[in-house]
Amino acid sequence: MTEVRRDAELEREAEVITRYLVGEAPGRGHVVSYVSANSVLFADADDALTAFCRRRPFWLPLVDSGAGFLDNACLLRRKILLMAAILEASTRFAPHFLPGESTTRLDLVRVGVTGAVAALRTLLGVPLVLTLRRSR
Amino acid sequence: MTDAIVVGSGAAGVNAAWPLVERGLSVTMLDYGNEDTVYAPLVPDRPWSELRRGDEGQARYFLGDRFEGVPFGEVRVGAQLTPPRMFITADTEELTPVASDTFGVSESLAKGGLASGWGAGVFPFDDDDLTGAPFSRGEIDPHYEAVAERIGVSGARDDLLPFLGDCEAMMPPLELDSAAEAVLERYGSRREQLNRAGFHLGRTRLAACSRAHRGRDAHPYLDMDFWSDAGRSVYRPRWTLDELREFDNFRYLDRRLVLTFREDGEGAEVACRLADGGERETHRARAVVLAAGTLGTARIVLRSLDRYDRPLPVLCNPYTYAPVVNLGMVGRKARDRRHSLAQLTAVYRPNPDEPAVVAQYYSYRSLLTYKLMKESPLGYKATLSIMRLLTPIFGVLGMHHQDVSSPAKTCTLRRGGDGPDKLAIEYRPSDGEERRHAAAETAVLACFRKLGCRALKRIRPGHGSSIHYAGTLPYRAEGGELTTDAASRLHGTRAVHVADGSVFSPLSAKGLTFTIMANADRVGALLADELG
Ligand SMILES: Cc1cc2nc3c(=O)[nH]c(=O)nc-3n(C[C@H](O)[C@H](O)[C@H](O)COP(=O)(O)OP(=O)(O)OC[C@H]3O[C@@H](n4cnc5c(N)ncnc54)[C@H](O)[C@@H]3O)c2cc1C
Repeated sequence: MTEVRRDAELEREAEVITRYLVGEAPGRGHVVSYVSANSVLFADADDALTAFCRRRPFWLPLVDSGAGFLDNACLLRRKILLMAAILEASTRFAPHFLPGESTTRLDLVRVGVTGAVAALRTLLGVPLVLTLRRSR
Repeated sequence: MTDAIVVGSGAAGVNAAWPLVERGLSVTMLDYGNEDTVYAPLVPDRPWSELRRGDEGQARYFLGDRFEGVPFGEVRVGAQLTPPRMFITADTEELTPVASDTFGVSESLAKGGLASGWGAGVFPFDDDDLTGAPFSRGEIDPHYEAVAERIGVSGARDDLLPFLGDCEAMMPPLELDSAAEAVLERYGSRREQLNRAGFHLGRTRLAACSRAHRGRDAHPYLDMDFWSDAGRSVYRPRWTLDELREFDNFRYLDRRLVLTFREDGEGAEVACRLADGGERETHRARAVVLAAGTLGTARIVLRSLDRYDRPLPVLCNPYTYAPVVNLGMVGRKARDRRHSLAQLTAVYRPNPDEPAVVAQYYSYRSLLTYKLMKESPLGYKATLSIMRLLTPIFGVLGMHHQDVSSPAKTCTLRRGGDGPDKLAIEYRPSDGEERRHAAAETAVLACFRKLGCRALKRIRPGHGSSIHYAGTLPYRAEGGELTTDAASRLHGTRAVHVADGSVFSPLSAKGLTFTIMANADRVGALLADELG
């Protein structure tokens, strides 16, 4: 694959993952960081799960959840974590990562609800990930 | 001829050199001496929360120029070794390689050694902890005092006093953060019951200044202790090295990898290789003090005495940590002003026949959220939401166990052929030890549960992960090859002394570095008497 095409795919990934994590598009600097980090950390590797999510971002939440259960350290998970690190260490997106001043009882309820929804996503995501792996 | 050569500028080296230099003896310190010249100048002396919102350059020091701060391996140790601290372990894979399937190693070739990034926890040993050492607590106490004054120690006289003993030089404790206050409050109302169970809690004694001391500032509470050395408040051996360099009778020679020593009629010769260019160089002195870190010293000794393939014992405190939610913090506002070091220390010893377990409570924040997200099996978007909600009540409990030597815990120097020699480490605790550790951890976590801290899971990062190495050249009154005598002299030599963790066996659950420093001060003082 040409370098130009690879970079375009990585740029697309950066965008898809950022929208998934914080609901906004990344800045140019974030994308550039992501592309260069990919070559340093992953030697520009790609896999079926990442390629699928790049093409169909709608499914990323389910694939991420299923992969977390089946193979927590797979390439896609590491790529999401990398993008999270890049976003977290930037003034624009830091507020999405900074903790609040306190955790209230209501927050604990929120944690419970978020956890339950996440578990449901995992249930749905596992067969999807297995299917994607098999179809490769 | 120089009076003494000290190998290494870590916690042991600088504190062994101090009494020699102070007494007017000429001392040359040989060190590899790596430094951080990239990141330190980039980190502003501002609070963590302010930097996160305002510093456009933060990605460089939080993630590293080569993204070295974004760890993906299985290894979970050394999260505290952030990009600005990575110079500490630089070059070791290449120059001091280790072969082991059972033991993870972090060695240092840095100016100031591993303590350039240590957690600064100070735990004086009591007579029990000093089993095997040729001195009692009473005998080492003056050296604890001298070192406490030199490095700046802060702490409280609280429930840990019977385990740590008093220290005249101690400054008032650093301020607690809100989460630790909540734990300590609960402890106050359950103290009797917990003490009866063998659990005692207090503030962590820290090598950090709570007021200005020896040209260093009082701690600024920026919550940046894992990233920078603001005000030089937290002790690093470099501060003592800077003071030593003001003496005319002290010489610091860095960029040298020490290979061997050789005794002759008048003293000893030390051979090293220059880091730049690779030429060999020798230095002569009346005495040599080895302080290259437990594993570094083992290499130099085994190579010098040509004891390749001869196993030495090795010890390292078994370590487990548990992420916890601190329910006492629910609904309470967490103060922004805080330090990032251990807030509280617990000693758990249900009866005198069992060794103590030492646990430390940290609040989690400044190491960034993505590092925690990595541990989650849930989707990362949900994990991020959960982490943000829970961080104010989130903490980490680190638990250390005692270690004793056994034939299944050894290190052996293998000839490197064309490359450097390799230290092969085998470390297999017995099933009995593993069971005892697991049971003691369950008991410690049960005590913390009574204080509102619920463990989410228990993580064993692997053998070696406490980075408290010891026991390779133990003190033995009866002598014996590859042991040390009461003056820390290496058996069979006249002029070679060992000043680092190599000599301690068994190894108490308390972190050993403060005792390494006090013993180094003792070794330096004894040698100064001898060289007179
Ligand atoms: C993240 C972290 C947290 C820690 N927290 C604590 C804590 O809270 N409490 C505690 O008690 N302990 C703690 N420790 C352990 C503590 O840092 C070590 O026990 C201590 O620093 C060891 O000091 P040392 O001088 O014996 O050896 P080192 O620190 O290993 O120093 C070795 C020195 O020798 C030099 N050297 C080595 N080999 C050669 C050679 N061949 N030629 C030339 N020079 C050489 C190096 O450059 C270095 O200057 C922690 C460690 C880490 C990494």
